[in-house]
Amino acid sequence: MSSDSFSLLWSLLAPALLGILVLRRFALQPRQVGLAYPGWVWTCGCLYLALGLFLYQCLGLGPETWWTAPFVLAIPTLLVSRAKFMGRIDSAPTALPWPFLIFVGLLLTLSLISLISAGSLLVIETDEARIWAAKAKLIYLSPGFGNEFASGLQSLPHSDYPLLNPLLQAWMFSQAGEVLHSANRLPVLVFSLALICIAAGAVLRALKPLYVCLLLVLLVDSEVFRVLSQRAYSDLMVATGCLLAFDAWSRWRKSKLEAHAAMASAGMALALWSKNDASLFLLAAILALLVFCIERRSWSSLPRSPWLFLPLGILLLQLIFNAVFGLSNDLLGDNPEGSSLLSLLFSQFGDRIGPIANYILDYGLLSPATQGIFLVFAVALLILPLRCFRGELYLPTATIGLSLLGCLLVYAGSYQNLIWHLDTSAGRLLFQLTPFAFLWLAMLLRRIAPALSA
Amino acid sequence: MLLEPGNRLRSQLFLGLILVWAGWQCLSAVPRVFWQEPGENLRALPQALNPDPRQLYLPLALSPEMVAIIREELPADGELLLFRRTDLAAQNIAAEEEALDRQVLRCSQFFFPLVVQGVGDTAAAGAAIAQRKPPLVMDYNQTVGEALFADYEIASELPQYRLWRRKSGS
Repeated sequence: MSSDSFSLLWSLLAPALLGILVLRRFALQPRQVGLAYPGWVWTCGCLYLALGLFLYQCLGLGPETWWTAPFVLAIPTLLVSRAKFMGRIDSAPTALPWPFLIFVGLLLTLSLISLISAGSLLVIETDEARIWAAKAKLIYLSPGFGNEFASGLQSLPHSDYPLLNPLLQAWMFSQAGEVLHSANRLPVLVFSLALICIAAGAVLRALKPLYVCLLLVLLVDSEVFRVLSQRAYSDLMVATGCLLAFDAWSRWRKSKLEAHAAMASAGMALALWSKNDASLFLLAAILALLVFCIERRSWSSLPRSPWLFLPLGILLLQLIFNAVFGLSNDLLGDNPEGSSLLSLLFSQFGDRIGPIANYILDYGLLSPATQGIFLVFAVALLILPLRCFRGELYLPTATIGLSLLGCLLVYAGSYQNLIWHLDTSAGRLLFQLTPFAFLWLAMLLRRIAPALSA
Repeated sequence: MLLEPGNRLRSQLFLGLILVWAGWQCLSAVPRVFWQEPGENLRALPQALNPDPRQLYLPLALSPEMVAIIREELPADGELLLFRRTDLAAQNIAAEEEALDRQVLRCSQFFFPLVVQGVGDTAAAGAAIAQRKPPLVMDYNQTVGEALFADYEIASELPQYRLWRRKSGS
């Protein structure tokens, strides 16, 4: 095995092994988590490793020392007792039919071929090069967040965007010992496999394997999924994080295990550190929860776990980082117009709402990016409004609805040319919510047609 | 009994719509997921496992003809000498031109192999050509005078870029 192959293998194995250790710390075993286990492992491992690398950067430890990070990060996971996280398994594991496992394996294999074949095109164009890989190169080539890094940031577009994706790519550079031009995508692309695993495991908790297969095919066939499984954008990471957050949250509702609350927080933290859009989704979820608790005059439905501060901590970390380097978001005022989202929202809303509504009708509802899942969402709200907002469906329904409303307001208040902004980002933005919406649909189907559920 | 007892018309209607939607989407998805996309990806695998580093020229927004010439004529270990003006930032230039210049800057800033940072004045450019004798030279917006290219001929030309090829025997 050549040193290149070895470093590549090590670069991908390290976050996976860290993820296994993190889940082990929470006493989460493969038989308990099910098919979603590899997805949870990859998500937690990447988040944990990136946090470690961020700390190394803050301490001025250059990329030549980064190989030690997985070993240093492994220590706390081995030292802390996992006894307090032990709990009952929420449902007895049952053997899955082998045709279903073969089907999921086939989808994973096809996605693996897809992500490997992405190497035929180097990272040279579009946002994956200009925003994400460029920032990764800057991190790698200007160790320690010093003056060189600060001046380099000024030449990057959207330099305020979160650091998780660039840190993972910089990790690949550091282990290869040089700037890479295609293999740096891999840790981001592996999230396509993680997404399939988490979706399969999550939907299987609601529906029979046959119907899970149908929904998985629709998810994998999404036009945006196919693009994102070959390009190192951060939208796939947001989608994976949101899906994990909701999957773990719904498990927590049944199990009340702190480990599930921690996993939900890890998913949301991953989404928030991947792209700013996730903060909109978090805000929607918090609003939905607040309305629920205020209406019930009871806060008992909220988990009391310190891990819930993890997403807020990540958000704060990125805000402090941006403040230190004087970075701000273009939508919030750092743009040629000098106008913030809120001020433009009021002045432009009347002019823009018509074109946005047209766009939603023409593209949004029937988009190949989302397979029409939001048309299904809208139809369900019209036909079955009470069922959509009852019990375990309340939170996802309200979160998806408020998130879509928030997206609409962002486009209405954007300083960018509206059609250009919609054309270049709406598909990816909607896809971030698509796997979450598929899980919502599975839960709705379980509610209205119990015969479809496992 | 598919539907929950007590479910009424609306649930049946929704389930019917889901059936039509999922059936329609799946019918169109299956050939793409299991045949077309894997076929394309499998065809791309050999190149993916051994990618051509010269793709790295693409961020320069070159024409396909220029890329073809560079691919054909530049040795694998060769370097493309790129001249660009260094004083663009001080000038009131068009946004498009500035964007192009930033692309060029990024290439050099982030160490794309085979692309050498150019120089802004004629003397330095002449020295670089005399020293390196590169097979190809790219001149961005005619940064340096044509007199420097006595041993070269224009291989391809765009409004922003001129690609000079070394004359045979020189």
